Amino acid sequence: MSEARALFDRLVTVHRPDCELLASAGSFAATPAIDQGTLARDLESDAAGSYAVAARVVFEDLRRIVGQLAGFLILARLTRRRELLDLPEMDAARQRWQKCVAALSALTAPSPLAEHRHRLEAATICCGEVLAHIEKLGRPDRTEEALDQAGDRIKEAYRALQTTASEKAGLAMVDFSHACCSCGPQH
Amino acid sequence: MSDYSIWVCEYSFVAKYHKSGVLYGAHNQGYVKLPYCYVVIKGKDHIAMVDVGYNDKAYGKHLGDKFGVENWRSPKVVLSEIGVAPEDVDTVFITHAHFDHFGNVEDFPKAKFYIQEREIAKWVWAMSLPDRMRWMMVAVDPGDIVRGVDLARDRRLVTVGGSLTDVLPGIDLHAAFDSHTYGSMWVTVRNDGKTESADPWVLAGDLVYVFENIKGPGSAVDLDDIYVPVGLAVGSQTNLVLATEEMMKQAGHDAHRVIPIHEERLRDTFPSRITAEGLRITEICLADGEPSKVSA
Repeated sequence: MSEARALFDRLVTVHRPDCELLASAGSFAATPAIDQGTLARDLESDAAGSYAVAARVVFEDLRRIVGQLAGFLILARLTRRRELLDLPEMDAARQRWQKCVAALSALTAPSPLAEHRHRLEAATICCGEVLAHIEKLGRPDRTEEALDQAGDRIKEAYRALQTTASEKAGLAMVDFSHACCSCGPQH
Repeated sequence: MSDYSIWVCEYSFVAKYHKSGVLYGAHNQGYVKLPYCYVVIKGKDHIAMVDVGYNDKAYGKHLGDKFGVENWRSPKVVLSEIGVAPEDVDTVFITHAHFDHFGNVEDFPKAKFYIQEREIAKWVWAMSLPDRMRWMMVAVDPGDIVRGVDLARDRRLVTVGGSLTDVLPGIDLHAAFDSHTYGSMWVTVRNDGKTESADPWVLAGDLVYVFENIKGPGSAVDLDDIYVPVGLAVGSQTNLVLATEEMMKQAGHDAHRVIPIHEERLRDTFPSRITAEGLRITEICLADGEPSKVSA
């Protein structure tokens, strides 16, 4: 076992993405579909509603990727262990990003929402740049520079993504559904 | 002789929070008011905080409209009640990465932040899981983690692996892994500076929400009281109970020395006042020579 693996295992000891429990979890029911009628009503047209449903997949992936990459950058900076970035969790982020790129290419926005799609695209591109900078962490002479550049791009990705958030359309930056505030009366 | 003053500062609140969220198993028992607070520790030439709340700019309107979170005030306004400015704060202990504890680092430009390494690593792990398991990353704002990147670059973020003694003189950090969150921690102030303190204060974060988590009803098992863990946890209630026992040991089994920051009834135990903004300042203890901020 590599030292990096041992380090991460020390931090994460319950279940990892390659854990047997998770591998066998494919039989779980899929996440319920979004009610397209409600979304369409919220967004005032069927075309916008369809777009919101498709965009939500991209948005959710980006939300995860931004959080994951930011967390990795913190750990890489503070532990000075470039090997952290070879872990399966990093690979999961890369794969999610690739899935996101594919989903985005299939996403067509009605003209009033073209800017929304454009911002999702910008966030996706920024995340790709972060991943590219992360690859440079293997070069000791470039580590600081790569971390700085990756840090700048992840902030840009977050900013772009944040502007696409829409509670009405189910695009929320934070899942408050079980949070400290969520049990109060729903206004 | 006390080294530090400690205040619990309310910055917002939820008027009606379901009781089962704060107390495991308390289903259909109505609602309690849930204040949102952070803690200020002042003394030994330091001003430290336990958690920093959230920033209303990001999602305050949503919280207000949808969940009834009321009366948010900025740290500048809240802390002014005890004569502190956000820029004066040099140290912040983040008990866990939920938005209402880690969501406002930008308002404390000179502070160094401490958080458990595992809290970051496990959120990264949770975010790598399939969508159907997204519950495990609930209440964490990716934006807070992004802001953590800047803090780390500026050497203002310190990740801690477990317990840390004397992070400031007489102030210790203690981990409660896989409890309320994956890497929660609490802060113990040994206010006489002694290793075996006779004047300890345990600042529990969200490991204890209300008094009943420590002194819950025990009559059903012929006891005066028992630990009843917090309802909301991504770890386990077992680990919450074990952490409670450890906190109580550090407090000499004096329950009033374990401070739950979401507890509205702190006012019944400690001096307090309501500010002009309608928020409560509770004075847990005063350092030698420090004037009260809650009494005339």
